[in-house]
Amino acid sequence: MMANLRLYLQGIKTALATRMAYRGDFIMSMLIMLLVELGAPFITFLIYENGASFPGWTMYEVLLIQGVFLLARGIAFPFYFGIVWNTINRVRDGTFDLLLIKPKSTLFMAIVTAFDAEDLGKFFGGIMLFGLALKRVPPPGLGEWLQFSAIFLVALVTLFGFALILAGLGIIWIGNFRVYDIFFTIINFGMYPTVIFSKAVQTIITMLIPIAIMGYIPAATLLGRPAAGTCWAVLASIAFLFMSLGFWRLMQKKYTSAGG
Amino acid sequence: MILFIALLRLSFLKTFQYRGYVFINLMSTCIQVFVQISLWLALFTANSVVQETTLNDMINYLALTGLLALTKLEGPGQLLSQRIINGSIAIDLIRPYKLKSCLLSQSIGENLARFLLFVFPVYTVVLAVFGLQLPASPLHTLVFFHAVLNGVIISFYYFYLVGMLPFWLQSTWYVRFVNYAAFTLFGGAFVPIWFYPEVLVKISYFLPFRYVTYEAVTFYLGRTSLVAMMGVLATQLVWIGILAALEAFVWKAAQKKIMIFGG
Amino acid sequence: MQISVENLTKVYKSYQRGNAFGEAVKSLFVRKPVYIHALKGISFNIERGELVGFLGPNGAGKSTTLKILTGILYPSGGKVSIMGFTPWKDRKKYVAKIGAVFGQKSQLLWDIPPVDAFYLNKAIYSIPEQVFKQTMDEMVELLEVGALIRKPTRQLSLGERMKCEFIMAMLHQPEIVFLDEPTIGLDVIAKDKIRQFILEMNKNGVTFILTTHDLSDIEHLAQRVIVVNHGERVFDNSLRTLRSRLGEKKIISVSTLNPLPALTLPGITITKQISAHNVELELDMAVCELNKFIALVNKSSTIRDLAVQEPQIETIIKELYQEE
Repeated sequence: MMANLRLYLQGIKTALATRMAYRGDFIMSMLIMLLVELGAPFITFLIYENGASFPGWTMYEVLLIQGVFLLARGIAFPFYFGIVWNTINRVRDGTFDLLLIKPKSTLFMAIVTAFDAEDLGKFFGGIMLFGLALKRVPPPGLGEWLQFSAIFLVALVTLFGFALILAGLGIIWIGNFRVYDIFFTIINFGMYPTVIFSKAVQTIITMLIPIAIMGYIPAATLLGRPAAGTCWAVLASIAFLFMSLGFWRLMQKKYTSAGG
Repeated sequence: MILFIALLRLSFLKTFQYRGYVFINLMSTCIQVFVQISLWLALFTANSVVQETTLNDMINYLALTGLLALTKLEGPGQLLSQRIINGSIAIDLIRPYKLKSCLLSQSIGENLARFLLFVFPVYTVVLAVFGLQLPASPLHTLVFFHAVLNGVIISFYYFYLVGMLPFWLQSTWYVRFVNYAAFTLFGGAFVPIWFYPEVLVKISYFLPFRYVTYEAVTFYLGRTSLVAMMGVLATQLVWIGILAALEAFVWKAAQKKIMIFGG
Repeated sequence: MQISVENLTKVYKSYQRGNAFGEAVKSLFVRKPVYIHALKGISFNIERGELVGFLGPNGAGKSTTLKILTGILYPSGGKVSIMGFTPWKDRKKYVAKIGAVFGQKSQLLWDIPPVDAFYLNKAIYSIPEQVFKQTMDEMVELLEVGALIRKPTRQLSLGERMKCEFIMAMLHQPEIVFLDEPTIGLDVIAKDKIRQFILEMNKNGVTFILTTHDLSDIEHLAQRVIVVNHGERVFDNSLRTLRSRLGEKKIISVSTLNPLPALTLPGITITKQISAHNVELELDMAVCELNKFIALVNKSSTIRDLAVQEPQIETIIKELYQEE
């Protein structure tokens, strides 16, 4: 266990050292990444600025949802979500084999070699947006914070599940970056209160493709108005994780049978 | 000319080659559109008219912007960038064809295929469901297409200019990001510019982005008068002039650079 | 025996694609599968400490075999047992004991020094600190790269990089090392240094399996040669046996003072008639003895210069590759 943790940290050290080799680029690209994330907050701002609104939600409450979501991605993307790019690139240029040849689980090796320092921009952005929104909403009590933390952890785990599926698809659909695009589009549903969408969409993004769990549900809990069916959403997300693990294993098997 | 058609045809067919690619792209477009519509539906159910805009206006805006998205000719600029980065630009300068029309034909071919495969089917369904608004008169339709054509030319020169950056810059990947952000913001890709705060609206007039598809769509939806549109067409021509001149100037400078440094 | 391969088969499934418009659209809905028989039943055994050269034309099944042996690929049929493991089944335990150097896939990290990649490997293979330092220092000294391992990989020449790849592959003291085109693109000095290193390690008991297109690698390193073609094993024997198939042939280049006669004796095959005074030929000494040949040419034309060479194994390999 300790050995694996040390290996993971070594992987981060190595990735940082590699990134630092091009110092100039780094700040710039972190800023760019941050800018892209400001899309949903900007649209939210425009909506409320023009006199419209999402019924029952103040602007800052919506921004809180986006802040939570961005923070979750700010933790997931640097530390493990990179397995998507890592896998896609390695399968495409044949170096995925180099992971298979190591005496560790291939998934773990993919994570070790996938730390992405640039995505820390999302983390800082998330902290800022979350903090900004938190100031303008009724302060949550201890109970709310505890529940929020637990659901936030589930959100992180769900993001891992998504990474597994996207990375797995990268194994069979070689060099296909559009897969990433679709994910990027779907998560837009997570930027707004789930309740504003049609019943069908609500069910899908809460139970089937667990997006609501990554922003709306934790934020709603924190605001003291937990979403209906939170427990079911949590269970669905955990089921999702196991399913995605199984999917990755299946894809890995396919790779080792077809030789890439 | 034959080369042009041949390259176009090749590019066109290439897009059909991979089943996975076609499927994924179609799914991607469908989902993108679905997300946008869901958001506007949710919003306009609660607030029926915002800034003289109805749900139907928003859907039409969305659909038209989407249908016109591929008139934004990013291709030639991107292909140019690739060739500069991997050095094959040196060969292109020796060969007896016009690089610009070569890249243009490839891009048009691919965009045409993508339009037929992904864009057209999706937005046709959307407009069938929500109802397409029609232009006020045949003259309006003509002016609309003229504006679209101008937009195509503006986008071609703009992206071609940006495409030449690798001649001087080492890493240009974030240039694409900045481009995307600028176009999205000041080209009104998701939210019409008439919703923006004053400051941003003012800035958008100094940039070419709103003149690529936004102005054409706004005119189509009847928010710009025919008379005002004449002014817009003129501005488009000015932008074309500026960008074309810039492009020619920068291209000359780039060629000089290649001659001196050998690639 | 350390490596045992029995009746290995591998079939790949691929799909046809159309080029014309109609076919392209059709291929969106219906695809015809195409089966490729990459391996049709290969068997061989390798003992501990052998240095085996693995040859074959492109598409012969070499890389497929290599991938199966390294546990990266499942076969369609057959048995493989290496050090008591089945590579693809006992992957994690098995690969801890093997190393691999791929000539065209670098395991080093481009922008940072090799030593950082070494430390990453140390963590991956859980190599104890002492052992790691000792092994690394030994190999670094043997390959003379001490001054280089702290420079970013991209600043090293190909030869220097290759040496570091070898160190990387052997830090965890593997018992078997697989080499895939390790000397590709290297200059003569680098090649020589790497070959010395391989031989030195082989003396210490490390088994090497070398896949290459460079026949001089084979000549310098391999004790045994396995040739694979069309998914089957077509030759498996010592290098000496391979050479002996050349028989008693010699390659002779002779230039004379006076014009040469028509050399039509049995056992003489002209390969290049450069001029009336200068010719390259192949002499089969089993048919015509060398002294007889020299005497004949000297008598008729007076030898000015004469060079006698062993033929390269290239000719045999070409023959083996071209067999159906």
